[in-house]
Amino acid sequence: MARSEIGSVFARAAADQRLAVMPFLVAGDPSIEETVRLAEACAAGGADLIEIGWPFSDPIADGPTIQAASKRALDRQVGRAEVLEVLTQVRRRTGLPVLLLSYLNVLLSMNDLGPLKAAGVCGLIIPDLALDEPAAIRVRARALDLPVIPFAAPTSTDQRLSEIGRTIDPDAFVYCVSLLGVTGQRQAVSQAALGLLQRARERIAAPLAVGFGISGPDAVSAVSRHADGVIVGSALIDLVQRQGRKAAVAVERFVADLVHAGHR
Amino acid sequence: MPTEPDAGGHFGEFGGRFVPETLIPALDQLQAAFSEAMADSTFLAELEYWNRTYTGRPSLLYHARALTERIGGAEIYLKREDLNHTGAHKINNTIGQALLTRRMGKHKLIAETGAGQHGVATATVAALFQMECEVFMGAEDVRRQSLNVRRMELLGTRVTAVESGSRTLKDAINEALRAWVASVGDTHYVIGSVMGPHPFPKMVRTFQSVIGQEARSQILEMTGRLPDLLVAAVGGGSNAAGLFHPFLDDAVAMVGVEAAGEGLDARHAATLSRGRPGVLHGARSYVLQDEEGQILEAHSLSAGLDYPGVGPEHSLWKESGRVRYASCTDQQAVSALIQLSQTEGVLCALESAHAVAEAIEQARRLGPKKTIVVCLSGRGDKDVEELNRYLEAHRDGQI
Repeated sequence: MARSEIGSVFARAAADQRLAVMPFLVAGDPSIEETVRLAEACAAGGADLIEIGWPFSDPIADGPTIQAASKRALDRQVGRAEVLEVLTQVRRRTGLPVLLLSYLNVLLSMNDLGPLKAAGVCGLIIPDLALDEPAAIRVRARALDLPVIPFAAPTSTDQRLSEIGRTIDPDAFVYCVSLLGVTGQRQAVSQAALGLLQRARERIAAPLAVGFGISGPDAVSAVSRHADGVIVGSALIDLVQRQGRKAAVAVERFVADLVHAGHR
Repeated sequence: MPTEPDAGGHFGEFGGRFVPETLIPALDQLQAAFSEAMADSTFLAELEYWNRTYTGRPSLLYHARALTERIGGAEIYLKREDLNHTGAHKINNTIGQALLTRRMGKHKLIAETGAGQHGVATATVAALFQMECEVFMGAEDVRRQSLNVRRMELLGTRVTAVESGSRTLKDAINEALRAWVASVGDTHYVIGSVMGPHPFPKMVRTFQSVIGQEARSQILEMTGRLPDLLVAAVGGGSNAAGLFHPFLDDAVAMVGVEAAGEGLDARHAATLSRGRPGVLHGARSYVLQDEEGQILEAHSLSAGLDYPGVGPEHSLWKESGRVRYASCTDQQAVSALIQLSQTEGVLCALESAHAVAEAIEQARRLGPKKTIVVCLSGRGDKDVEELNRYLEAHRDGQI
C-alpha cells in the first residue's frame, strides 16, 4: 500500500540505526534505459527509496549539475510518456518506493494525476510549491493518497516549522534544505543544516530528510545523528557523468558507502 | 474586479507565491517593509524627493501634433518616460526598491535585465545609495544590448552573462532567483517588472503608478477631460500596469500591446494572446508553454519584451475584459519607431514602439476629437545597433 511505503522506509532504517538513503536521478538522463539501470544499481547498493526528477525547462531550485541533466533529457525529447515509463520501470525493477520530484507547472499541465499513481509513484516533491499556497494540486494529490513532501529551509522561522509539523500529510517526511542556495555538491555540511535539523526536530514529529549539497559519505555521517534520511542528487549525477559506461558499478559502490556512513 | 490583490498576493486566480521555501521569509519581510513604508509619510516624502530631484519627475505629457496630423485621427499624447534619468520608466521602481532595501537593513542588490534598462536603473540606484550590485543578463541580450552592459559596468555593477536556456530574460530571472536563494540574508532582489512572487507584482505596480497618476492630472489639465484610450507595451507589464492602474475605475479603454515578433504563427512573445495559465517565476499567470508544461522560448526583436510570462495582474485584467491585449510584430514596431522618429523627432525604444504602432492604428480607427495616451516607456539609443542589423537584414522588405 502506497500510504505506508514512505513510513516503512524510515521505520526500517531507524530499526537498523541508520539514515534512510534516497538517491535522486533525472528521468531520461542519460537515457530512459540508463536511468532505470542506475536506479537498479542504487537499489543494489542499499538505497531505501528512489527519487526521480521530471526534467523541466526552468529549474529555479537547481544548480548547474541538475540543470544540465534536465537539459540533456529535454534535448533527447524526454516528455510525459517517457517520464511515466521511467517511473513504472524503476518501481517494477527495484521494488523500492518511488518519489517524483517535479516543478509545479508540469503537474498543472496534467488533467489527471492518476497516471502517476498507476506508475507506482508514492509521493510528490514540488520545489516551487511552498506551504502557504492554497494550490489545487494538493487537493488532487490527496484525493489519490499521494503525499506532498514539504520543505523546510534554514531561513524557515520556528513558527513555520511548527506549521509544517501541523499540516504535513500523514505519510510524508520533511525535506530539509541543508543550506542557503540551490542543489549541487558542497565541500561540507553547513552549520545551518544542523541548526535547522535541531529546530525542526523540536517542532515536527514526522521524519526529517536532508538534501541539497550532500556530496558523499562524510556529509552523510555529519548529519547521521540529527536526521532520519538523506537525499543525494548532484553528487550521484556528477559521478555518472564522470564514469560513463562504468557508471552502474560506481553508483552501486557510492550508494553502499552512503548507507554505511549513515549508521549511527 | 478587485483593484488590489488579497493578503496572499492573489489577483483573482492569478499571482501568489510559488517559490522555494528558502525565500518565503524574505518575501514576508519585504511585504512587511513595503506595507509599513507605504503608510510612512517620511518614506513617501523621500520617494517623492528622489523622483522629483533625481529622476526629473513629473515626466512630460507631450501632445504629438505632427504625428496626429499625419495620421488624421485621434489626438495622440505621449507620456514621456523616456525623458527620465537613465532613459526609461524602470527607475521609478528601482528607487522605490532601493529605499526599501535600506529600510530592511540589507546592502546588496541583484537584478535581472532583458533590454538592459532595468539593469541600468538598478546599477544607477546602487551607485546613488552606495550598495553592491550584480545584474544577471542573458548572453543573447548582452550581445543585443552591449551599450547598456557598458553603462552598468561604468556605474560599478557586475554584469553576469547567463548562458543557460534561451540566454534571454527568462534565463536571467532563473539565475537571479538562484542567486537570491543563496544570498537572501543580506541581499535584495530588485525584480524589474510586475511579476514574480507576492509582493513584487503589487509593489512594482505601486512604484510605477506614478506614471498613470501624473498622466491623469496632466491630460485633465491639457484637455479638460479623461482620455478615450490608453496604450502601453507589455513584456512583464510594468509600464502598462503603472499607466493603467490609476484609471481602472474610469470610463477609459486600455490596450496592452505584446510582441508578436515574427508573427503570431511564428516565433513571438505574445503571452496573453497565445499562452495559457501556468506557474513561472513565482506566480500563477499566463505563460507560453507546450502541452506538457515546458516553458517555450519567446521571441521579439525587442529584448525587453522577449519573455514567455507576464505579470499576474495583467492576466486578471485580460480575464475580466477590463484591458484588451493586442500584439505587434517586429516589423510593425520598427516601422512605427521610424515614423515617430521622423515626424516628432523622438527616437523611442523598440519596446515602446510596439505601443506607438497600436496607437497609430487606434488613432485611425477612433477618428478625430478622441484622445489617446501612449506610454513612451523608454528612449531608443540602446536599440540603434540592433535596429541597424534589422534594417540591414530586411533591406529589400517593406520598411
